[in-house]
Amino acid sequence: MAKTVHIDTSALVDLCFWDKEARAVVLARTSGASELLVTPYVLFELARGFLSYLVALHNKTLQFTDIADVIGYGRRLYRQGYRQAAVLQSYETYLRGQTTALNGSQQLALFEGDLCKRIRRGWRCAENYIIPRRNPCGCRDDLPPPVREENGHYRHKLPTANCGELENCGIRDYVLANATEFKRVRAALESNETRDDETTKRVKALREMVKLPRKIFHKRHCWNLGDVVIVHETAKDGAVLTKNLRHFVPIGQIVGRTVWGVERGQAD
Amino acid sequence: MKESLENIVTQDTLAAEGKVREYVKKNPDFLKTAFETAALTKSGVEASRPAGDNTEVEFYAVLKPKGKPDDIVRLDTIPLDQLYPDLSSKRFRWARAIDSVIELANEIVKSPSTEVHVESEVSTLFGRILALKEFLGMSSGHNQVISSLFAIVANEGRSPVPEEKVRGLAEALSTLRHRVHLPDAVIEVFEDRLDEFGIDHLMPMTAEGDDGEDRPH
Repeated sequence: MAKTVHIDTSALVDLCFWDKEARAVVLARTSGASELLVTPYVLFELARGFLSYLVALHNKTLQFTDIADVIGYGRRLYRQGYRQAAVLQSYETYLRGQTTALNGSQQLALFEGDLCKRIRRGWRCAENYIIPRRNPCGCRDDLPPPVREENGHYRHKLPTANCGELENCGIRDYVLANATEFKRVRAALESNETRDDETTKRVKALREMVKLPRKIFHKRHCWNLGDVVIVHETAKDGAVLTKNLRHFVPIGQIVGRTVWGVERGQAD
Repeated sequence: MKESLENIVTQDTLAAEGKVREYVKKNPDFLKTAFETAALTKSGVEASRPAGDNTEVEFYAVLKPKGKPDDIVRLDTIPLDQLYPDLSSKRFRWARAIDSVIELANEIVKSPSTEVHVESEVSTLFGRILALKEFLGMSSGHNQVISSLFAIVANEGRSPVPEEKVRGLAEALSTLRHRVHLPDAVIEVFEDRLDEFGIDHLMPMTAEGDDGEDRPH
């Protein structure tokens, strides 16, 4: 069993934001590990991804007066394949199973309560897995928690304005210090002619990031690197836990890191 | 030097009664705080809980004169809307409704009974919880608590509920007693108590087609 299990963003959502069963699966999968670790990079990815959409969904519930409006809004999310659309879908299923009759505004209020609780508790849970000074890729570690304004809206102000600036961000140094491996990843991903859009963006970001150092790089490159950085910053004698095996496993094979799927029996 | 209430109530009954009245008069928020915190006996003042259609709170001083038996003196009767002039009556109905849930949960765990009877009582308890739907939309804090309670009914109501969980629910709910406001700090204590007893209070999720991806980047 790996000593340190790095929790990637998808596994972190299951661990802290989903439901009791999903959390139990993650904990069972990592039961022999000496420690679970969430790095600041993963926390940042959570904040600008899943959590930000959850916050947006929550704030939408305050804007509408009936659950039907939120579900209509959610149809757009379904088409785009956002994971948070699954939250809305789950809620619809939950409502169908309700034994007590609720009108549209009551259903909306119940959803608002659930989202609010999920954001508040989920963030608290995620932060618990951060270990001080364990920040391999040097991502900024000054993320504030989401806060509620007096009108009930959540705001999560991310300090992204300074992302990519060398004095605020360690990613460029990290990539350059490990340029040989990152170049190998790029070459391997690039050689796959059936790569998906996400991988294509990743290849482009890798190409940009290993160029001669410039003062500032676009933060989008850092975001698109995502899976590569998360796999690479995993300890060599550790493992990274993910639900996103499709992207993680090939990268893990190239850089020699162990990738685990959240379900037992997956890609050890 | 200002005398503490804990000292006052141990003095001779007649002197103590006057001093308690004076103390309460000089500290207008004291009764409200005493009503909300439920840490009443320590301070020497107790509040009656409004039940049924009653909207008044009676405050008593519990006097403990040294070397003499305890005595109880009624201090005041204050209507809830006077205690909270800025709040709607719906908030007080909430406080009473949640109290009725707490009372029933406590009754179930305190009175030994057969498993079948407990199940029947738990059904009634869940019925009272579901009736809290009328308070949905009152505030985000209320939405959160009701969301937790409804999730408990959905998650735990599918099979017989062990007495230990009913006890846990009663204990968790007691953190909400007398609360007309529900700030996050109070809700977190409530949720932590539920967690301690292994009570699943998160809405169950279906994750069909969920591969953990967070598209698009």
